[in-house]
Amino acid sequence: MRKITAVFLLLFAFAHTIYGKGVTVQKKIVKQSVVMQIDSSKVTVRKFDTAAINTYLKQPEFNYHESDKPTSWWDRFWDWLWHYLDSLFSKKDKSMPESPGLPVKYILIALLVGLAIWFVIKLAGIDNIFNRRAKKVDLLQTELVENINEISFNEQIEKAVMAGNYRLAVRFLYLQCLKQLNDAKLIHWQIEKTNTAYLNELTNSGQKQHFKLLTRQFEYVWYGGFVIDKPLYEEINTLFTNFNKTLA
Amino acid sequence: MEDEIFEQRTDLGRLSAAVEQIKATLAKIIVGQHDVIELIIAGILADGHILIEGVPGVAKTLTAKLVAKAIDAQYSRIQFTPDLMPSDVLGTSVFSPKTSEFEFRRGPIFGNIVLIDEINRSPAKTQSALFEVMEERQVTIDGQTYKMQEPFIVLATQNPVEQEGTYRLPEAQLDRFLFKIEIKYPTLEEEISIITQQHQQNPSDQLSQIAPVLSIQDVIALRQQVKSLHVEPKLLEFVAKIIHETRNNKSLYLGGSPRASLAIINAAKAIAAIKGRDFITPDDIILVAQPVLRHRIMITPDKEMEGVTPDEVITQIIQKIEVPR
Repeated sequence: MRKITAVFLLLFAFAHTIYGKGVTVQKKIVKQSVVMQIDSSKVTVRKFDTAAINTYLKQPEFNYHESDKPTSWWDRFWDWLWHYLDSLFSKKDKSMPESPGLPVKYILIALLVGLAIWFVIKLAGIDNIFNRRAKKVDLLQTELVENINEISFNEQIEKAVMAGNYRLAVRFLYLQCLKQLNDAKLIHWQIEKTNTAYLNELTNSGQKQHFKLLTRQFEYVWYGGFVIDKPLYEEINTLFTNFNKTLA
Repeated sequence: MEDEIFEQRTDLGRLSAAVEQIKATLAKIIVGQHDVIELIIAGILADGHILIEGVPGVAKTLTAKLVAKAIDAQYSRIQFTPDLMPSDVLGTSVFSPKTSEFEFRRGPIFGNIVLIDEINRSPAKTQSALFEVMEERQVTIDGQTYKMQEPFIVLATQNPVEQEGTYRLPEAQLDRFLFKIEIKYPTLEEEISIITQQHQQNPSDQLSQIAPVLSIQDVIALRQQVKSLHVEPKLLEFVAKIIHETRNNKSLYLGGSPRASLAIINAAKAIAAIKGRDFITPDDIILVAQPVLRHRIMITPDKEMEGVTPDEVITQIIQKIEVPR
């Protein structure tokens, strides 16, 4: 019973709201008198100038007639291509849906344009423009890498001494020493290893001490830029010769 | 033996003695960490700022404080917090009722040795306040430029960025640090030694044991000496190749800057001087390459996911380049 009463009350409230709104929505209509204006001016009929039209028609810009045959070989080629493609993709039967020739034409154009851009980029050598990372530059390794197995040490040392370039001669003495250590399998020669790395590879303490001394001489001369004369070179040369004898 | 053949061009006796003295002084309190201490000294001699990174409790701040105490210079400390403002670091203009004018009140950055503790606890806004002072050794506020007194060294400590409450430092700021030195956990023997040595001592008593070893003038003179060391052109090329390779390496999306090239050379010079040589060798360059580059390069996300570290990439890069000989 209570439920029914509640439903009635709700319906009453709803109906009252709608009715109330209906009342408030009503607007007052004000009637206004309108005076009609009549256009009584005289109309002059103008006609097209036939002579002017004929003049225009004689101008090439107004010639809409397409010639049946392309003028140049390039136009003829494209005309042939499109006709050929149309014949490939067009439907012979007109009752069938529209031919896919047109989309194919645009796809081919896009492909050709893309190909042309790719060629230009490749030719200009700017193919890294789409990559954030710069083009990898080869290190100057080829310029500097020396294979100690291919150097004729005695010849090079002699040349350097003759030229009075004792600094270079010490360098070749040291490289020769490294080669002999490598040949004796006491060290493993690799371009990226430092002198200290080779020193640490030696296990014989006597050899290690001697090689450490030679390394220091080389480093002072080669990295330190110390000036070296003939007597000094002779002294260093003796140290290297003595060490090489121990390896023989 | 080399002394018998080659006469030293530069007298590095004073420098070597000073370095040994600092090492001995610090060894009284710091157990182990010899490489770290040597790198910090090298950083000071190379006129650089140093970032020390490590997990909490590995004596980063203590090491920095001890190094600062070993130099008789104006020392200041700034604790970086998330709410720190640039003016709290640099200083600010304050109205003076006496003179009815604004007067510049210098911030804690004005000092010879500035210890910035937990530098990565402050956001980028505060970090940017350090850009000018770290690079140009000057502060510009209200159109007025204030030059820093020489030497000016920033010793900063930080926890790894993975730790809670830290921000990643801006690349521009990281590039201004000469070294990022990583402090690892001590070995078992070192740990035992630390406990044995320090369990009954008060930290403030430990610091009072440290007496200054170098004056400001000493530091300036030693820096001049380090600057004048000989560098073979082929070694400059070697450094340039290393840096160039960082810019082209597939594992990296940010390589080293020209400032990094200069940093390697300057740091290598300092290391050579500490070793008693007045010229640098490839070994010196390779030794400093990791602390100079590890905070400057950035690993690509995929390599980072694979667990590749900056140090590994630097090692790989160096192994690709021929040592000039």
